[in-house]
Amino acid sequence: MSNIILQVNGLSKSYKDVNALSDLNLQVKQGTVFGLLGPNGSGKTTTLGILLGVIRQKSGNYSWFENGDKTENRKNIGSLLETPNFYPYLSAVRNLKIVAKIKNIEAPTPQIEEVLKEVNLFDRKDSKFKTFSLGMKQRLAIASALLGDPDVLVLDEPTNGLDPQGIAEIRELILKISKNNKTIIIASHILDEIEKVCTDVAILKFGKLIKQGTIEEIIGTENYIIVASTDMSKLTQLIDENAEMGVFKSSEKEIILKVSKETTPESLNQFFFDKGIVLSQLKVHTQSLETQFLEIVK
Amino acid sequence: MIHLLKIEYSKLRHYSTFWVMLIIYAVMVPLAIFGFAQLERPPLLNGSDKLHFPHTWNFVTYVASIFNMLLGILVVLIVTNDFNFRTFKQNIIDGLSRGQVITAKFLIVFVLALVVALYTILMALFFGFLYSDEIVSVFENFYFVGIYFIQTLGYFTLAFLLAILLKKPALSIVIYAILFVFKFIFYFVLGAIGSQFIPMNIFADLTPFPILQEQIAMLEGPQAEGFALIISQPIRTAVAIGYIIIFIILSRVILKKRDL
Repeated sequence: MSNIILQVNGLSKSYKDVNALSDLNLQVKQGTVFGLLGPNGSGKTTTLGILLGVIRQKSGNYSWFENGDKTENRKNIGSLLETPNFYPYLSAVRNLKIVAKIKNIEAPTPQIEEVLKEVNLFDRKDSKFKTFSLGMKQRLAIASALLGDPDVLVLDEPTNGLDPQGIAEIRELILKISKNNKTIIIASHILDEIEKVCTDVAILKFGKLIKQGTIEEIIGTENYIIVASTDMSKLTQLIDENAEMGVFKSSEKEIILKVSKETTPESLNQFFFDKGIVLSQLKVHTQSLETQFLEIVK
Repeated sequence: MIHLLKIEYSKLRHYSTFWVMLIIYAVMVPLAIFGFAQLERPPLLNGSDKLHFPHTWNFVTYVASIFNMLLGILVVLIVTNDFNFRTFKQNIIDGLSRGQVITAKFLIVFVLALVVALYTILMALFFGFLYSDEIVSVFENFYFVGIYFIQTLGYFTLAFLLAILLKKPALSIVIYAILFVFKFIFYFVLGAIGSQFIPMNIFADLTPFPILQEQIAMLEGPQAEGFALIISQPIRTAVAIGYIIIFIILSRVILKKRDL
């Protein structure tokens, strides 16, 4: 099998007069954790809806496993789209048994128990879905996506409604699964989530692809460093004189500098010290994807 | 086919509303048959004579058809549930095609209609043997059961189409019930002949009021003109089957084209 898991060509969709998606082209390779990023209403869920056969595209096409848009493909894709969708009057196990039947999984009980343990729902396996909290519903949806050990996972806002511990657990689960050469596609607007697990990122805005690349390419060649001094005017002056440093954001209290990857906090500290300024604050700005993202979608 | 049916059945197996409504139906039908049988007003046959073979087939299917509304509502629920819980969407995401999803749903409705027809056969045999003094021509007029099955399927596919169109349970049930109960309104709108061709009336007239047709046939002169045309049973059955096919095709087309 070739290593292209998903190929999307010129996908478009409009609702009445709103263009939800225009001419989207994507390629996802096997083994990547692919993040689909974008603000609310940017077309993430529309894209996944089309790829999973529930929304009709206006034009364009897509191909899973180089096998077109056949129904059978979806049996090898575990998906969580928008909300956890289950029969409220059935227990967790009975709901998963229906999914197993659809996916043609023979003798599913051991597998069902295994995925329920994976998401910490085993103790509640015989409780009805309607008695579950939002976080438990979300975890059941993830368990359902894992059923049948599919080669691809499609997760739309997977940590929605989970508590911090749950978020960390899901993140570890995703990282664990991705090690087995599985492909994972995650749509999210929580940048932290994407940055911690994804290898590749595509950024959408108003239904258009703004940028696509590996996470290193997106985060870019720049570092962001926060500096401050008791003499802010002299600090500002020095920065203005130096062509290599750009001001990303500045306030009265601190300045966020955009510097090349080679510039370390150490070298920066040395530079200012030599010019007679003692820094009162020196910190690497960690949320670089967020910074990039906000700049890209501006 | 069997696979799809199994998937649908596992949705219903632990759905209490489904079983409660079936039990209500199963209890109401014999009670109503027994109750109607006590009526002594012409043009009905006297008392329990209505339940003698072969009259029993017409009578039992007529009474049972009144309760088809209940089962029609059940069909609406079975279909709208999957919109409500977004499980139509999830079933497709998990690996069914749109065609399979609707076929599965239609199959379970078809089986339900079969079960109802079988139950009606049992009821007719039970009351027939109970009330007939001499057991003769038991299976004369048995064709009423076949017609009754088509009628049930007609009501069910109409409920099915409404549920697919409207997606919301309450709205679909209200419209279905209005069509069922107030179908006579079409008489005033479309006249005596035109109104007979409305799906609801076509289906309802498949199991006519017992003896009424014979009574009308016996009318002569000016009295008979009000009933100038009553569609014959074979034509009515054919039209009913036509409607059923149209409803199924429409439901399929709608679900295949729609974003879920």
